[in-house]
Amino acid sequence: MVEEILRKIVEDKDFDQIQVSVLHSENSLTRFANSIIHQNVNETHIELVIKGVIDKKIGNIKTTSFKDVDETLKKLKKITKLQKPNPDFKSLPENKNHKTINAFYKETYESTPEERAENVKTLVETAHERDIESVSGAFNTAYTKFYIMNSLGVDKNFEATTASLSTNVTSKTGYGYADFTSRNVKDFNFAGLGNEAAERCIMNENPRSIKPGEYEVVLEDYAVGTIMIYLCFMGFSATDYQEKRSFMCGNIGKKITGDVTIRDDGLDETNFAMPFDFEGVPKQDVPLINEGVAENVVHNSYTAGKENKESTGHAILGSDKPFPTNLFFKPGDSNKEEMISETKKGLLITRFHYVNPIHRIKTIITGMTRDGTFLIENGEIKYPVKNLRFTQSIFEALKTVELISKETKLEGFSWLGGGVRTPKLKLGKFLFTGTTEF
Amino acid sequence: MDLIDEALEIVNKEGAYGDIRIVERQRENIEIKNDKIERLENIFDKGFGIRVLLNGAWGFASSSRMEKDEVRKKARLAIKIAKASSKLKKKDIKLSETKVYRNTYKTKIKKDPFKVPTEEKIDVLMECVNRMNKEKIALRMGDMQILRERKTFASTENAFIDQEITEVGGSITAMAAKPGDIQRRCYPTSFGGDYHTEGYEFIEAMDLVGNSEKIADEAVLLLDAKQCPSKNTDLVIDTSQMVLQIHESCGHPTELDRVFGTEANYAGTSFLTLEKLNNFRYGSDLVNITADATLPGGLGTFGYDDEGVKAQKTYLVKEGIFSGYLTSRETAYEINQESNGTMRADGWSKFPIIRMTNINLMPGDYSKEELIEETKEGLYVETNKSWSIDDKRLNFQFGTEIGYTIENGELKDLVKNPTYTGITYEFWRNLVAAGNDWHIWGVPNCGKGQPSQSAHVGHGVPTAKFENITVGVGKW
Repeated sequence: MVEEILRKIVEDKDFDQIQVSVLHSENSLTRFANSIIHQNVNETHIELVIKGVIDKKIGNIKTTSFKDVDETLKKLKKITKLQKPNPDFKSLPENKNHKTINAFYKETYESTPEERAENVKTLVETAHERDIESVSGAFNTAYTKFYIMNSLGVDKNFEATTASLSTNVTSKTGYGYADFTSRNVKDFNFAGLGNEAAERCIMNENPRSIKPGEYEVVLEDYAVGTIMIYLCFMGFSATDYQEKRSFMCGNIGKKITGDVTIRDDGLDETNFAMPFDFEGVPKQDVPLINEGVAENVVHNSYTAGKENKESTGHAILGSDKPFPTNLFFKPGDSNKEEMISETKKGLLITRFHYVNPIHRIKTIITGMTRDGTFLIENGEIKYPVKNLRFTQSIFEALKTVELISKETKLEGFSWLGGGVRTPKLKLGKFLFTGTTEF
Repeated sequence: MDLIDEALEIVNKEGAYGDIRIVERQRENIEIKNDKIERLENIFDKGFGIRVLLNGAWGFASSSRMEKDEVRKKARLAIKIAKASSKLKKKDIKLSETKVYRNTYKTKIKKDPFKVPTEEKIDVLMECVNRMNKEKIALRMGDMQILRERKTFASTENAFIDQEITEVGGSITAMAAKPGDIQRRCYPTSFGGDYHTEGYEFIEAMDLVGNSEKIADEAVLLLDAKQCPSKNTDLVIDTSQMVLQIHESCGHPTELDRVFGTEANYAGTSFLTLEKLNNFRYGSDLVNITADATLPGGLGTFGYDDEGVKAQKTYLVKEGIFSGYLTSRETAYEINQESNGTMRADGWSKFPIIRMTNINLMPGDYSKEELIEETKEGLYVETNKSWSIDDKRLNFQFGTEIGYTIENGELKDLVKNPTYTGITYEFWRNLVAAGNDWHIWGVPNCGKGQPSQSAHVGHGVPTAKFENITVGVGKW
């Protein structure tokens, strides 16, 4: 039924080129706080997105109504004709073969509200085996089916499931956190997540104030994941690069960090792999920073066309800006214990909160620590500390990378359905600029 | 009406409370980058959401398929979800009483923005980017966004409310670049600009074209400006930055659902805990903050919230004392109050949560010039560039696009990358003067909730002066 509508659209001869996609999502989320379920929702969303091209003029239309496709196309023609020709537009992508990736898991798709409630109950009850006050979190299961067709022969679809859970545990003065994400809900250890967050909460009780300043840091994978996401925001997209607002500008081929390697690989199934992007272009492995040297930014067909390059398969649905969605930070051979033992005076950071860029080119960001920050002295954790504000250039921090863990963890990149696979890091210098009361 | 009856009949048979919202959104988005129309987009979005309170717990299901079978399916699913939710409850959720309305509401507009030809809007933005075309300007942008939302709310309590809300907004941006640095100026403000519930007359009054050259010139000058100094000093904050200051450090912490911990896992909780109500000094005597969903033109202005509670005005801070929360029917019941009407959902698909309406700092008597004249040494800042605050809304840090040092009552050196930081209540206690240049800003992208929801909120704020503030944070 959907495919018939899409075929009819791509056969519309009034457009020089036309692309149509449908995103059908079924999203269920159980939210809990104060150790009870307080919000429990299910959402079905089916959206039609069409891009039309006439004489290099490009128009876009989005609708949830499938009833009158002719009227939608009429509106699109009117919008497109109002445009001015865009000389940077070369072409929509042609059809290319893609790899097969299994991203659909029946267990996730068929997950029921009762099962989600039972799983949350297991987590909450496990956490309460310790002397804690409250458990909160969100458990999400989702199904997505994506169809993409264009007038140049692209005709593909892909279905996927995802499940994710994050939880906070609080006691009178302690805070703990844990999260997990996977395509298959069967991979979850609900009791284990409750236990991890509760254990961190107990460790973090009665935190003391310390003075802000420059410290060594051991960053848990949660914290490193946030840093990587903000690097993406500040410069791995070709749009930002072409508009001169990426930190990669003037740096391609130059060493910009310590020996770290970051790549985006949409085909690696240890992340949320997908066979092709939202234009139907096959995904590929793109090195972004290689042993500290800036190498590439990611493209969709439009940004690639501007530079007479091939798209790297990073188009995003409903956006003109390409974006990396399957990031990998290359692991090392260390572990958390070694990182702590190698720290003379530093902080163990669980995760960051409310991070925001201050200067994109200098990669300066600010944010708070959250849910477990600990002082390390002479290779040992001494005591928990009250949260701190940091104001730090990511590149400058990564220039001081000393140890990288062998073990990595997948962190969700929820708003794009992607993920970040990240190790833990030990950095030599990290600047904290303020404190708070808890 | 048929769909509504179908849903409510199924919920009524269960003896449950239920409501249904049918929401239709029509949008026109225009974005110009340099000399090209980067995006010309028309969006139509329609669906329904059914909320059920059964066995003392909530269930919610929504869909974009506007068919009777789908409505029946989702009503039954919402009931099933509520029953599942009740497996993990400590007590029954209760709703505070509210007057039941059967009414309509419509934004008052003079010039229907959907009837203004798209070509005319494009021409305005093209003229702006043409005027910003100067040496060292790497990126010139202009955008306009127009939204019309029609929503019907009906409940098993016999409420039936139709609303039509029209929003318009826009901005222009000039970004200057040199190796190792970029500097940006936006007008009238950043992150999409300023928005109102009004007609196209609001866009016309902005005078985007008339301000284009000024912001381009400022962006270029910022490239070679001095770095903002690091010190404790007096700070005069322009109304274009006060909007984010009140949003983050007053709006969010007064949301009663945050105080009760329901956002703990995501955005966090609040330092404004229940025992502080009516006896905590939030700010100086000059600090008076309201939540007012009735303010003409405000982006958080409406007739009724998404629980059918009538829009109203309430004090959050009175003469410096913390005096009220933003509430829903569920949270108001817990503090023996009636809801003050702040429950809103992002479209049809989401569960309503407590959202800011228009959160406003009442103005003072000073002109901006007088605030500067009466400052011996200090910093003046304009237009938000970055924001961050801890998960109890205490330690904040803001960055702005532009700043000037103040010496002996006059603006002196232009400075770039200004930042300032503080603890919320210490900061507001240091407010020593409020200006008379009160303006209602619209923020169209306030994030909260899981799944993430974006709310449209407003803030009426003047320029204000604060003493002894830490500015110029970090290493540059």
